[in-house]
Amino acid sequence: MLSRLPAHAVIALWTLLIGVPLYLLTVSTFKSTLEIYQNPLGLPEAFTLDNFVEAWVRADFSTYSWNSLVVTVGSILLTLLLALLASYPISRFRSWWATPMLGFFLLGLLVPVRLASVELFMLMKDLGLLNSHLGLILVYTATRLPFAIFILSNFMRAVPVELEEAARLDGAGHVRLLWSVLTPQVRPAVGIVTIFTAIAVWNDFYFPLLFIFDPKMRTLPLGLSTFVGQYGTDWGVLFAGLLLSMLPLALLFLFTSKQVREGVGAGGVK
Amino acid sequence: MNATRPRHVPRRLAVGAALVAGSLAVSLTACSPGGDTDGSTTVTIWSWRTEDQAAMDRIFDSFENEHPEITVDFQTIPDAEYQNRVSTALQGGQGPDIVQLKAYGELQPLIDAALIEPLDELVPELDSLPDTTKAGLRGIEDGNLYGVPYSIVNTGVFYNKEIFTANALEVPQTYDELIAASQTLLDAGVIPIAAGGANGTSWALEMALAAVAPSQIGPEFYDEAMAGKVDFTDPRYVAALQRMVDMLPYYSPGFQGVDYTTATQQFIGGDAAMFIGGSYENGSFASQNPDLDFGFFPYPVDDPADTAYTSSFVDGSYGLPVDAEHRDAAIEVLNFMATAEFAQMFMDELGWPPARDDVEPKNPVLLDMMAAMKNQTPYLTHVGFKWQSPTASSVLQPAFVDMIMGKVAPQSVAEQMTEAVQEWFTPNVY
Amino acid sequence: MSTDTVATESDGTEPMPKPRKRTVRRAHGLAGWAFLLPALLVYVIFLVYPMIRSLLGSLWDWRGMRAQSFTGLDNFTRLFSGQNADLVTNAFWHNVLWFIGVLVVQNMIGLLLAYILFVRGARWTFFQNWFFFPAILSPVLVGALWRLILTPDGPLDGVLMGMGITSEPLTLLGNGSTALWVLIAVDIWNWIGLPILVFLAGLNALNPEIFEAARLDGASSGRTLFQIAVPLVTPSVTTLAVLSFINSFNQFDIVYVMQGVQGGPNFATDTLVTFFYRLAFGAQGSVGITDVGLAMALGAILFIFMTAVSGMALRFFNKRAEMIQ
Repeated sequence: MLSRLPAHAVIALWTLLIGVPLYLLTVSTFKSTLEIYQNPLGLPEAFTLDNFVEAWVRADFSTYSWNSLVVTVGSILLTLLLALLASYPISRFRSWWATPMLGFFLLGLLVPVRLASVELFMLMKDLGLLNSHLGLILVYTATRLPFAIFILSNFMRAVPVELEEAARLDGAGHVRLLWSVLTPQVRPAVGIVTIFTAIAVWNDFYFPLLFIFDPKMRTLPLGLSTFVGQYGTDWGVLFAGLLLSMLPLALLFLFTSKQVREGVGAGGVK
Repeated sequence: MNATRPRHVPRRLAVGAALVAGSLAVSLTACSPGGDTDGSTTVTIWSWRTEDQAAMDRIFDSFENEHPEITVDFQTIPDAEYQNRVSTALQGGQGPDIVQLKAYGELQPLIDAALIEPLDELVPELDSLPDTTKAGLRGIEDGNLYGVPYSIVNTGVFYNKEIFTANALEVPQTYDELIAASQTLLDAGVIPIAAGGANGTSWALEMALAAVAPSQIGPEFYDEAMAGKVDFTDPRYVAALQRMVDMLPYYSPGFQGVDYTTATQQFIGGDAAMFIGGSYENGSFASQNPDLDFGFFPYPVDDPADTAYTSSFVDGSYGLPVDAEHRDAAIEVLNFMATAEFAQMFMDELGWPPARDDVEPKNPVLLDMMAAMKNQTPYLTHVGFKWQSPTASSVLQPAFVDMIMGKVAPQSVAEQMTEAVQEWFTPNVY
Repeated sequence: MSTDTVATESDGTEPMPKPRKRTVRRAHGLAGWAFLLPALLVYVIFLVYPMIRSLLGSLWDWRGMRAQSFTGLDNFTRLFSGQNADLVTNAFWHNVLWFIGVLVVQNMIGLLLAYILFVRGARWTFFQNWFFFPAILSPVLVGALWRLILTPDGPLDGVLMGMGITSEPLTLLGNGSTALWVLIAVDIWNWIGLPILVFLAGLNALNPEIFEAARLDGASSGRTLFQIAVPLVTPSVTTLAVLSFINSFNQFDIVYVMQGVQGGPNFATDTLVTFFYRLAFGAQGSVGITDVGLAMALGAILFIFMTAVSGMALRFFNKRAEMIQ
């Protein structure tokens, strides 16, 4: 089979290709701009947290992080709620519209949503949703629903009908059936939807760029891009900001990497 | 199936629902307009001058002392995003109370869309401004004035006095002396001229061209071009473009990968001896490196018998969005910004050439710049050819780095610029 | 609405599934709609409705962000004439190159890495996670990180010059002939984990006996890869091709962060979405004025093109995948 040496070399090479930039990012957060120039690869002279303090306090990363958290958690919960509700009839009911409806939602995976941004902007304006986290949550929910419904209805379809019947014997209605029987069964799918919604929403830059104007309402990626403009030459602070902004997702990934792998395998969708 | 599972779920979902409700509530309250707890009205100002935040805060602190009923919140958006953000925000009714406006043609879209108010009557002080200044604030169709100007900017060469002294160099009086000095600096291991326009910052190169061009096109070219007698393919203008190319050996190393910010840092950090740009750099250079000893001279002419001219323009102004939430307070702030008092403070803090005459410049670099202003001509591509799309700059800026790197000939850039503006340009109108 | 099978099941006396059907679907008319409605409302209001309005909006004349009057195909005519036509063509080819680059390079490297992990021990989940890790980073972060690394006189330059590999500063991002490829490479770096995981899922789903048999036949590892693994993971390739297509034609963030919204230098990295953004919301460095009508026309064409191509690709490949299975 695959001869050991070249195979390991390839793996090692790509491991380094990802590791070195991330290492650079991490050590640079402890360095001054001058030190980054003079000694890019070495360990920092001192492990000072000055750059983090600067990013967190003066560049307002505390506010941005809170905003991102509100928007991300809100979008995840709303997406999950609506997608669970919708996947139930789509996967478990015998209706003429179940399959076409799934197709209708799946279209959302193909269409380039950004191209509708002028009309979306005017809609948000007319609904009074500009400059608000609720507006972002609703837009993210709309864009994430196709993937969520796709995954959840696929998993729900595989739940054995006996479980459903047993619950019905106990007199469970639709709501109890969905909450108490189906949802626990599709827990892996819920995990997949959660982590992928988290990645997509936490990292999105485009919609905040369009809809958020108040500096206090900025989410991390928008704050980060403004910050790149303002601190363009203060590399240490810049790197500290970059590191801070990726930390929460990195932690989440640490605990949910299994779901991520399953999710990509199951859906093959970003 | 595990019988205990179903019972847990409703509780979790209830928690989930509560979290949804909670986060929505948070986001709803967070977006309500910032009420002022101390009873004063907060006037928000948007500006692209991230570099000047501290100075502007100090200026408005003194205003707040005299007007305790008003608090000024000076917010900045990086220049690269500024125009997009302002136009989108104003159209979405989400703008600030006062907005920094670009001048000339770049001001017109906001006027056309009726997003900002004319200030002729609201700020009476504007009437006393000279016509050349008014030209940068005016609606081309209605002739009304839409902004309070803060500076008339000019262009030239900033130089590091210490480096010049260390290399026994004088301020060059001719192009040949400039090149000779640059060569000396290069040999001494110093970057002669910090320059770069990568990553969407080639506006900075256009600004450098504004400094260089008068040495080739002279002070009369602007009027001839606006009258339609000459266009960009005129040998004088092509020679100006060529001059930008000729200086390539003395620009920052890796020039085509260097952006504006990096170039300024090379000058500020003392790694480069010269920087060609606009007088707005004065304040930010000084504030980023208070120890930097630098001066300013107009870009030198070819023939020592000629006079060196500088390109000048109204940098911008502060205007009033039609949807301004705190309109009355904003008008009061705008009137303050039109006073000699503001002009003096602005000049002292930032060292930009003022928009009024009745002030006293003290900053030595500013004095150099104002001396150069005695011989000025309008910044051609900016004052003259940005009135409609496509602008001359929309051809020049993207092609600039390629032109300097020798991939596009100056003649061909000039031809494309001419072709672009021909779509809308009418002589003697703008 | 179909009404069969309900009676036998809903009385609950006989909870036996039908023989070949694992899921029994019921017709519950209005109840179904009630469950569907919230999702449908949000989806239609915030995605479908603006999309349809944008398509129709391409036929209107715009002033700022408000449609003024019906102009028919005028926007399309303007989009395909003069300077705009050049810009559209330019951006379109960049998207095509991006697609090809990602499709070929990213998926080939991805398959190679996935195959090694599969053969050498797919249980090395550490490497799967590690290779996927960049994908959880925001494009803003990835773009900024690589921009800093690639700055002339930056860290990479320092290393290369220090080792004497180069003597001139690196200008990959400022050079029109390399800039686009750098962005594509960054995108590949960013998303390499995706094909790895998809291929691994595909390979893991295969019957291990096939590989065992090949091994016993004395097939070399290279032959096993190309003659057995590659054809068998074709369905994964389909998914990945469509994903690469959608993502390549949606490129915005990385270009915006690394080169600005004008897709510099000299439009060398301009894409259709950055061009769309300039038309709809304005240019950077203040060199142009927005033209929403043109943006709408560009959006409409791109929308139809993308939906049609990915829709057809999915149909075509799904049929093939069914045939293979």
